Amino acid sequence: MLTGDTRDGDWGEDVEPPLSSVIQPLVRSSAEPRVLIVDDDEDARSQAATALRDVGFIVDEAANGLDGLKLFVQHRPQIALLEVMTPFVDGFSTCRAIRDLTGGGDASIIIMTDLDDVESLQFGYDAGATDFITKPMNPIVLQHRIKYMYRATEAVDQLRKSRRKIAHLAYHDALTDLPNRRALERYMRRLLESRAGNEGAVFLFDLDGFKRVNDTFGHTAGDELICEVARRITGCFGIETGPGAVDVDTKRTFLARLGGDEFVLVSPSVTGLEDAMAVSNAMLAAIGTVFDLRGHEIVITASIGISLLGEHGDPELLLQRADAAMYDAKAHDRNNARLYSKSLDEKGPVRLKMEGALRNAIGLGELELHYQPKIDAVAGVVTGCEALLRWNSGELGAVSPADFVPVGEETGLIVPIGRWVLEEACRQASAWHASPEMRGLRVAVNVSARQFRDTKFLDDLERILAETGLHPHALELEITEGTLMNDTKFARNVLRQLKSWGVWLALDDFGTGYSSLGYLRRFPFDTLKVDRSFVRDMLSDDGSAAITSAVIAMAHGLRLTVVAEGVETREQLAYLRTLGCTELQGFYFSKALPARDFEAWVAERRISQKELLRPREMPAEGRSSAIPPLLIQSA
Amino acid sequence: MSKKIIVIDDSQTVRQQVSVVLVNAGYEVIEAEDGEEGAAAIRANPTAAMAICDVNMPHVGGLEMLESLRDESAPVGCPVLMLTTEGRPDVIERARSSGARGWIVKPFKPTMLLAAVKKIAGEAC
Repeated sequence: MLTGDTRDGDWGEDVEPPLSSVIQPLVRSSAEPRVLIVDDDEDARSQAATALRDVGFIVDEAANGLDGLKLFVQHRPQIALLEVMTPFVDGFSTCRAIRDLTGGGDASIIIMTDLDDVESLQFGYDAGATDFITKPMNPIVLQHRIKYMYRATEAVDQLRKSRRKIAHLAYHDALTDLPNRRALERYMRRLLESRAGNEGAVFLFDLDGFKRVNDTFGHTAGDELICEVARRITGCFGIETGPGAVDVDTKRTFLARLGGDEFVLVSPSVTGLEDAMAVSNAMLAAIGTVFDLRGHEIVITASIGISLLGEHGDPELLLQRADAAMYDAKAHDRNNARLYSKSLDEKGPVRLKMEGALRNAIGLGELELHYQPKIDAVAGVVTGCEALLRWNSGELGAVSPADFVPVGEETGLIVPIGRWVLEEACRQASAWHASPEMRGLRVAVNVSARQFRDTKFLDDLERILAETGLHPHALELEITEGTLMNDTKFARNVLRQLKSWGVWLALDDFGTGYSSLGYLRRFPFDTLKVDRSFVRDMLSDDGSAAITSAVIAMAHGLRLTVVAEGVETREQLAYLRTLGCTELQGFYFSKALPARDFEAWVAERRISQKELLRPREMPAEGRSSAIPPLLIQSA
Repeated sequence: MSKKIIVIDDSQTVRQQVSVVLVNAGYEVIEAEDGEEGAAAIRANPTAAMAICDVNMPHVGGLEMLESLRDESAPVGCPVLMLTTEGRPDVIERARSSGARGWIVKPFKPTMLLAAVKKIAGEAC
């Protein structure tokens, strides 16, 4: 190095100075050779100024450090000549202050002093001085020193400019001038280190069918399209562009181009799936607007893969996940966004295969309902059943609902599947009602959150009830707490509508979620289903027993029917009866059975009730009597 | 009797470094941890020769302290030398117009500090 400047030194990978320090343009008002002299000794100052003006420098003069600083900010001289002992702000302090100014690292600073002890020199260099000169100064020596210094400064400037250019290219995409992958990883590392919460999401997207654009209109047109996409997305999200973009505050949204037609947007404020979908939709809308490409109107879509930052701290992993989610989006409808889920890499191809198979399951008649009986805890008679979905895939064999229901939820396939379940259950129940033994049997159907929120849900159900002729009283919808939480107002309206038709409403899996009593009061439920885990643990765990007992007592207080799921032993049955549980369901009575087997089971049970406890009391207080009798045999 | 100097800085290390230099040079030191304590010390010690004060401190900063002393109906206090890492000209200007008598950008060199102290405290007597 020609100067002692260390501010803008090496910028190797390990050091990571702010990129702006190497990328931003030089802060300099003019290229004219300019010197600032700060000295309160007027004679010495004007002598030096004259000598320098004689060799072509523009000279600014100040009598103290503060005025000198102001002149420096105003004129940006390449060289500052500072006397040490100046009033108010001394030379060392002025030197430090200049170095701390934006662009102040570029100037050469010479300290004029008669303090020539090693300690003072070292202190001066530490303060950022480039060189020292001792007073009194010989004008000739001064002229040559400053001319040499100026040339050195210019040379260093040139070096910095080329280095800035290289650094710029290292962190920017040459086509769009957006930050590149390297800059993206750097931004993500900063974001992951600086964030306080778990917010943030990565959106990786590419253009569907971009290759066709290149093939049809040529690569130059393809490049134009890429640049236009970059402009639209940066405009849409107010994303910083230009030299500061790579070092932008991690509170701001960031866009990088990875190459080809692949971009990554990082939004640090996204708080969850809904937010992420809103951002995705804004992106899809921005990209989906017609492009005018050399007189051709073209419409292009994008596929977006999302990974939520959550608690993860690894930029590479987040990009991998977004990438997996994007391929998931591409494998399906395109022009959509998918959130990364574990199943994508754990199951990967299997999951994709399952999704494809599930898509065809209804058409191929692979779905089937099984029915698990519900027994009146007192009378021991069958009151109804819960319809449970089974899938026998021709391709994958029998698939557990635990595996395919999440896939259905994620892909939205749960909506048509749920509709099929409702249709089938209502059709079956209606058919059963034609037989005197099965008359009044109530069939319970699980409604998924996505299905419940589907705008056509009520219309579909109304149509199904009309088409199958099933009395709404004979249909029970089982809804989990989670379904109600997202939008309670909407949920209440839907539930009230269902209630007005006479549909029986059950709150499912009570005790596993928030178990909010508020839900029970605010929503018009008829039934509370105590989760199987409480039934399983209540005999061995006092806590579970206490909760089960309290839940049942409370449900009675609210005039709700209580159904206990997962009853497997006689002991459980006996205990639940003493607690006043209304209905029971579980392996103790029967597993879920195909429709035909269920009919047979009911018929057989009618004849033999050996395992039942004898009826000894009236139905528990609180059971509604406004509902038509649903017992399939009279007590 | 030795001259009293009030040293105002939230960093104990800085107060200690400054105190050592001053005590070795024969001054008596009173320490304060922020602008509020500093202003109280200045009011309570009318005979103090000067104060050395940081700018960025929690609670009440150096500039606010200077301004509060100047705003009093009968302006009180000794000359104040600012000792800080801050070097922006507009901030220095604000201190000068509020009556600061000098500005040293940290880290300080003991001889430079003493030179400034001798000049300011000397004028005060």
